[in-house]
Amino acid sequence: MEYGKDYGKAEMMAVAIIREIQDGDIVFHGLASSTPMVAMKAAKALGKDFTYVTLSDGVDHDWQNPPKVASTLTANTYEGSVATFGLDEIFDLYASGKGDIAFLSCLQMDKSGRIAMSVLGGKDYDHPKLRGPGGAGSATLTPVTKRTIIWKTQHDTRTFVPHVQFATTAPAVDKPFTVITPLCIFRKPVGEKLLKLDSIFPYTTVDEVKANTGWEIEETDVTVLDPPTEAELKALKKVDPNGILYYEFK
Amino acid sequence: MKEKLMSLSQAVDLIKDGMLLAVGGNGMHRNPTLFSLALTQRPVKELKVCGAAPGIAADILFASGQADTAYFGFFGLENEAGLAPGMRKAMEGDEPKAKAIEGS
Repeated sequence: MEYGKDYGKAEMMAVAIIREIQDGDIVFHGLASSTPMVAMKAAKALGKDFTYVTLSDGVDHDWQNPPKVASTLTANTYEGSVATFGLDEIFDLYASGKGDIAFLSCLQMDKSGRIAMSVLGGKDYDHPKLRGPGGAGSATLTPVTKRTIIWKTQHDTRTFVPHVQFATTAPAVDKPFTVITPLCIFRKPVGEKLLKLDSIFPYTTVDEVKANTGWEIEETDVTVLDPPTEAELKALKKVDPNGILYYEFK
Repeated sequence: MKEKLMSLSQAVDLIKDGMLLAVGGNGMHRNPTLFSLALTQRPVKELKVCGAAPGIAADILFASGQADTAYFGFFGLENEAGLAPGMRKAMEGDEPKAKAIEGS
């Protein structure tokens, strides 16, 4: 395998996302999701055979449309679609247990995978210090999606905290739950309740991950993920000539 | 067939205190922004707004203090514009002027 040398956190994270996709999967991401959007287009360019639904109401849009903005509510993810499929239909599909992956994100997360999207700080839910955007369907999707995957482009102790005060959603005990950051991958195994450090990226160490995580990490010996291959980096460049992947890493 | 097409000022005249408005569009896209701006010129108050992902048009009504409740899955302006400033101003702190009812 020929590995690329010219890559950073953005490319490594996108590649980690791409490698989660398996042939036959039904995959969804919502709005404000530029990182998974570019990764999905690159996964298509690499020839992965999966079904891609988005909030723009399109199914398997023409992945060769280069994104121009980071918004994932534009016609870019609709044009060239093989079918029109609305948000209500996406939720029905996932509620019936047929959705394989939902890519979601968060403001904060704790070791149980409890996610804050609604409020941060303050007295209570109705008197928050910060009113967030809300779960955007994540509380509906997490319990019914076969493999929920969280991506978060910041890895620090403000984001990965000891305890989330108000959880917008939380992982299902009977389903796998994955968290991809610029440094590593955490996974919650089926039947368990806590996240474990699964693997780290080639440019970091377990110590660096520990120093930037607000909960205790017990794992010491974990896999170092393979760096991006030349083919993966080429696919990312091909689908994203405007560099939208870097938007969340500024 | 009933004719629904009307001028912006005629449409704004339909809105009364306390009404629940379904605001179209998501985030910064396909919003009835001019309608919200026109509404800020009227004394109407205690409005409730709902949408899957209300954005700029709904945010204007919280910034103006005319809306007091939002029903939503996601309320924000997405990556480029960030969190919704009018909604935050109305909903944060010890004495919030508006309520969030999330259907997430």
